[in-house]
Amino acid sequence: MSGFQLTIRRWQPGQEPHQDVTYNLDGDESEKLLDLLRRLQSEVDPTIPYRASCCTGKCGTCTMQVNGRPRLSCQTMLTSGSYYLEPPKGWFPVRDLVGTRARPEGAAGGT
Amino acid sequence: MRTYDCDVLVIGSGSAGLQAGLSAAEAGARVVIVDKGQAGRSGSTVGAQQLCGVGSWCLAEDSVDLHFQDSLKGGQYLNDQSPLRVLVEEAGPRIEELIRRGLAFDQGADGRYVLAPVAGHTAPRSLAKGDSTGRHVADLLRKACSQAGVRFLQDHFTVALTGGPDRVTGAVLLDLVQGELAVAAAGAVILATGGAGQLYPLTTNPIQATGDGYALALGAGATLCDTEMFQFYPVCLVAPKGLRGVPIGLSEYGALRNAAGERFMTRYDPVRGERATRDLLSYGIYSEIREGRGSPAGGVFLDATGHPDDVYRLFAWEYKQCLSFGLDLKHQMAEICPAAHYYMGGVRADLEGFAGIPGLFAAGEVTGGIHGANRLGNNSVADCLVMGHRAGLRAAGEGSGGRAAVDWHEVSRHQQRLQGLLDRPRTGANAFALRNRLQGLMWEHFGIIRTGTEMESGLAQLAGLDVAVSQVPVHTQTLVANQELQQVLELENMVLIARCLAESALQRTESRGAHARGDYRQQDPAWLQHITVRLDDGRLGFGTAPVDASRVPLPVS
Repeated sequence: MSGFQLTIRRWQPGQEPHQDVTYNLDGDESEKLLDLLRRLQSEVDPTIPYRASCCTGKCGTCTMQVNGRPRLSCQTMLTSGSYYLEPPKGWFPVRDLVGTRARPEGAAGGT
Repeated sequence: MRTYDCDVLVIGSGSAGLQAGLSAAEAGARVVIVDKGQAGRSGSTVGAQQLCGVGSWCLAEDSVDLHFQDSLKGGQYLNDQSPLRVLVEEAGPRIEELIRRGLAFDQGADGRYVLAPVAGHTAPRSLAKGDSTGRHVADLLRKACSQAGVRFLQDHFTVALTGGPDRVTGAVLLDLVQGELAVAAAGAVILATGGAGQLYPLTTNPIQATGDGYALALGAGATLCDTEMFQFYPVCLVAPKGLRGVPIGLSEYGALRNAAGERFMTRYDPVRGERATRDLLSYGIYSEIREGRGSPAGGVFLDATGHPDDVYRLFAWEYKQCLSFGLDLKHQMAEICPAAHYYMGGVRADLEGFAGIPGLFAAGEVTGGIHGANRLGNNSVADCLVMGHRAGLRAAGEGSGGRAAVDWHEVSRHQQRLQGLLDRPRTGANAFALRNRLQGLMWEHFGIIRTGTEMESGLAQLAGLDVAVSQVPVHTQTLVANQELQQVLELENMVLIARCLAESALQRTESRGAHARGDYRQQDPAWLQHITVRLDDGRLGFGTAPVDASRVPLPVS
């Protein structure tokens, strides 16, 4: 086990500006980033949403910006010690790591 | 409150839901498809590697009769024969329709379709499109739906069906993007919600497979059957951790070995060995693990090394994926274990998906009875296409008959219930932790090999978990992307279906297909009947129903 640092760009409608919040979690280098996110929800903070579905790299649902690059969290093996996570670039923000491709009614603009 | 008016409301957007919506729309109905995740991406279809059916692509000696017999044998004669006959007869035409709509299945250099041999099928009749067949099917159907005027509501969780015992009139939805409730008023509702693999810690299913449709159907007064029958996909990775639950298709070319290096499957099936059907493979693998002959990560070894490169190219995606996590299947053994894969049990419906309550239909994995005690590989997408099409047509006919006015008192009751969940005291284990507990319990007590004493203690624990779920806090106070609230609602569904599974598994005192009892090792012909379950005044009521044996007599011993 080693220590990993997840910094999440947290935002919800009506809140400006966003807030970067850092969480420290134990993980195993053979795990994937999605495993850490699932543990974050069940063990640390149940209020952080993220998208995922098939967990095998086929559906594309878990796309997010990982250290500034688009990545599938289910296909990202834990290598570096720290990750900066944002919703997919160009999507409309919904809350925290969840974005939507289609413009929600009343949305201010893209990220 | 936003209200969506339609003739046919489809819940779920895997291949069953998309085909149902498409067929209903092409028959002239106004169709809305809702999905709690992303449309066309959240069901199990996306992970399907192949699909099967008898058609012009098959060998001369193949026939729908053979496909029928194979499926019946695989299902150990618990299959309802009328719907199964429809499945095998119409799978071919539905696949031809996909081809007409532009799905180019893999062809060899000679221009003939490449047919894959699959365990339990006496002739090869499975087609593939690269290594992401299911995703191609879903993408094609989703586009066709859009062209046919289907409206998609993604990120909408179905909180409840509306209407009384006489008719289903629509659904109350939670719009997770807007963070508000919405109402769908429909002439007919089709459940196409898929399975419940999330009942178990290791599953090939997507995160969304929480059995919502079973609970919605029970709530509407419909009957479920065969809820003890859960298929485990035998060969799924347990290491590296990041790939836990990933099914390995390459196993068709591999040997299974225990810690002593023995190819143990010949002890369980001397004739077929590792080519046995999924139920027997899972039984054999799990027995080795339980009896202490497993691998370090809690599985057994899959040896798929040393084949020519062509073989690995057939499974290019999974090979590459393993490689990126440091596992080279060409040179290294993998550690594998069975993972929850397919729920044979589900809603009892007729040949057109009618679930017995006016206005309520079901298609695909959410239904029960057609696959018996063990589904054959690649019969699932075929089932989704055939029954989705039939349910779509029938619902279009019924749904255009008009919609009931929205009962706002009913909607308001659901709104108050959700508010009540948000207002619970915020103490105790959270919903995600409870989900993990439920999964552990189901694996320990209602997994691959079941015994009466283990199941009885599991049932007692399940009752405790039921109480915990009724008190579980919701810390997230906004309705926008409130996955915690969603998980609570999903947990309610999961615990309900888990109780159905547990009770019926305890009742079935025999081993048949996916239901293996350590204390009743043999099949008992007296058990060639369905166990049924309904929800009456909040209590689960179990019964039995005869198997539809209208075409082939049931074995007597």
